Amino acid sequence: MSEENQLSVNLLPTSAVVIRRKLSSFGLIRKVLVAVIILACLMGVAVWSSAVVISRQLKVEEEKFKLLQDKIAQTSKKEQQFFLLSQRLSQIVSVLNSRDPIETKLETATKEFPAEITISSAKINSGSQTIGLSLSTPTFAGLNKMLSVLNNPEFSFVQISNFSRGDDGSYSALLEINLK
Amino acid sequence: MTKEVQPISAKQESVKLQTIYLPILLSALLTLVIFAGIVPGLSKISETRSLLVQRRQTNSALAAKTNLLANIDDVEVSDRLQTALQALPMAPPFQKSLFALTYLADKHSLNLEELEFMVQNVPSQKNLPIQVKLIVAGPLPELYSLFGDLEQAMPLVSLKSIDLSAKLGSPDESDKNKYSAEINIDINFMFPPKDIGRPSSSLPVITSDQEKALKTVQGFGTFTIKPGDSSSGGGTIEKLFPD
Repeated sequence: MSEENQLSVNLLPTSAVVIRRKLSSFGLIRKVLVAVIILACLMGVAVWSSAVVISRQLKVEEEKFKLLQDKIAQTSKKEQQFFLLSQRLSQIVSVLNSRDPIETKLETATKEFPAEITISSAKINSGSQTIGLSLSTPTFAGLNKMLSVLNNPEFSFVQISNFSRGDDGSYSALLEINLK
Repeated sequence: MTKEVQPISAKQESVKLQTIYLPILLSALLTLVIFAGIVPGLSKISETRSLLVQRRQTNSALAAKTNLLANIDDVEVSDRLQTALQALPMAPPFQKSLFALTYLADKHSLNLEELEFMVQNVPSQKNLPIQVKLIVAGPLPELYSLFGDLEQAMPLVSLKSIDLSAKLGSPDESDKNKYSAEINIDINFMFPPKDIGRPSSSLPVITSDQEKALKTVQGFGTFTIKPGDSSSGGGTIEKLFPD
């Protein structure tokens, strides 16, 4: 060892006490690190083993999935038919529910009037509650009957929009009625 | 009390520091490497676990589906589908509708004065119904019975409007008590779906409403056109309403 080296060491500002303290704290750090290494190793083993277990479980489920798919493929025609059936039925329900029995309403409304009252025209639209009627009768008695029919409780609303007497003495009326 | 301080040479300090620093450095590196392996490992486990849960759910749905499919009778499904397809054909049923409407007018001894398919409204892709205007003439009771039959025919028909007018001014005596009816109807159909169920998707459920609707349309009238008569301009009506 040269003299120059000795000189440089002697010039260090740290005392021996400080170095000893440092050494003892390094020892503590070393112990902590050993503990951390052991913990890390244990965690590593735990992670690895759970990864292996989960991968095996996934493999089993994948095999099960393939088997089920094969089974379904064997019944694919039935499945497609069932799917089509369900789709059609859902649309059939929607069509049936959207239908308005306008023919029944029209028949009910026109059948209320006796034979001596002629239905010149009748009009009904789907979705509309109103039935437009044009009625005529040759006699005054018929007119009375027509007016009494209009009081029928079957009709929830009656509006006479036009009323006239023709040259031949017949009476005619334009009505709008609503059924209950 | 003063502690006696032992002088430590620079060489000793250097050796001690080296023997401590090196293991510390190495163990720190080792810990870093292990943790660097654990962190992606944990995230991979999490991914695999979510995949496993997903696969288990799919498998359970598929198992339920296979059980359901095994319990469904082939013939029953086929018959029901046939009825459903008669109610809602896969293509616009022009020919069938033409035959059915003509047949119905004849059946009720009504004069078919006009039959117009609204071609400009013929749907190309969407499941919009075919709009048809029909003008028939005859006595009121027959007209009402035609309306009733239209509502109970397949392909499904929806009556949109009825405009009745009496043939009062007609010079023909046979026209007395006769009415002319302009009927606007919608004839329904439905194109086939683009996607007919994936193997992994669950089987649709047929609700009680759908069962009820199927029973309703099973009572509706239908007809078939016999094949082989196309040379004469069309088929013959085999059956329109159930006996």
